[in-house]
Amino acid sequence: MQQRVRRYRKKKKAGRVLFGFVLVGGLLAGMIHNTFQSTNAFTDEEEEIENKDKTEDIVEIGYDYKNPVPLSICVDEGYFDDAVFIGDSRTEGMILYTGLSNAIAYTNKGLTVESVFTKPVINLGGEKLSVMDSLRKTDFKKVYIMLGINETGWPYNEIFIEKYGEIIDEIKAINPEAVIYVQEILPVTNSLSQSHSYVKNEKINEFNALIREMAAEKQIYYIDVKNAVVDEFGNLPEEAAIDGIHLQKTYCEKWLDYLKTHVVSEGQEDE
Amino acid sequence: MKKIKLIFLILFMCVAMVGCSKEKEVNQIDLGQLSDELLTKEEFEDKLNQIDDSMVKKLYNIDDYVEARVYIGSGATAEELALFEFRNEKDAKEGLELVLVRIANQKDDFSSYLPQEVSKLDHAMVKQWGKYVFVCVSNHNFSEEIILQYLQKE
Repeated sequence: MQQRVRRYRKKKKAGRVLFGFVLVGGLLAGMIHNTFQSTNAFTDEEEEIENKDKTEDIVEIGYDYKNPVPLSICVDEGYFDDAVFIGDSRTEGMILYTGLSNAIAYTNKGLTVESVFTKPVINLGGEKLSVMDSLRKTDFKKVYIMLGINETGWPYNEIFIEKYGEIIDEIKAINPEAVIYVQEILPVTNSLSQSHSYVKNEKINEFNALIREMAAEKQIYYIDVKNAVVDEFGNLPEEAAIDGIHLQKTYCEKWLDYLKTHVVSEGQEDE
Repeated sequence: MKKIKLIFLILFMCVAMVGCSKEKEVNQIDLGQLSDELLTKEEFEDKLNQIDDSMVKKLYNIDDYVEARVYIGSGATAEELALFEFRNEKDAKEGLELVLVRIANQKDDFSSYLPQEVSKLDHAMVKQWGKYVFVCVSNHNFSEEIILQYLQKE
């Protein structure tokens, strides 16, 4: 009987020891597991932050405002739903000929970087307002500007670019989130450039260099849109415009196609 | 005698009424065919291109037409050709008013941009024939003659 009691006590003791081992083992395993889990979580978080930093780095150094907007995926016309086009008769023609009726066109024949502020040419709800006053009353997310052909007779390039810069500053003040695209001035045909008293491709090139510099300085997007329409010598082909300036329908379509394939991505916009 | 006079009077009035309505009545016009004829026979300096309905509505501020054919120049000239068909004469009359607003706006724009184009706008053919309204801005403007010849043929 005593032996049976001893054996029972031994078994009980062994059971307790075993239970103790299992308990301690379990606790240790749990701790180790938790430790690993938290270590993994830490690593993921760290990786995420690191990746985010890298992405920001890419965006930060990814867009060089000194360069024109590079080739992008082709967007459909819906991209221009929240866009405003500001320009002279050439932009007016492009909008009409391409049927881009979803975009807002604040255009006028003879519009200049100066008259954008002063000339009441836009009919808004029965009231005639200047382009800039109209913009103040408009919801928009993107602005496309092409101005300069009517200013080629101006004697001082500095005044042209100063006024152009004021337009950009004002648009930024109206809507700081807006994506602003400035398009280079399309050239004219060689025959017009040779014969006209002041509309010269050389002058247009000078203006374009200034617009590009300004775009870099003000961190807005410059589109080298003349690539869509020029001949091998950088002139507007003779068949593109009966007067050497205003584009025929096929060339307006090329122009719009270029804009559709030169847009900035969301990441770049967010920046 | 009185009865005979009355019968003659009624007959006269009927004839007069038919005559008046015939004067205003214009057969159904194929705008595509007529615009082709105008584009071929009228003298335009610019190459006119047809614009979409969505742009027609924006340009003329008219949206209740049945059909429209609008052709515009590149911006090098003020030349333009527009043919509208409305539901009825009343709508056409309202359409005509809006067409005249468009012509006035064009005069404003061109007077400071290309003043030499203003004379084309001054002599633009803007006519309403029944439920139709036609506009032609060109240098020589034979369009009214061309349209009348076309209507006689039909």
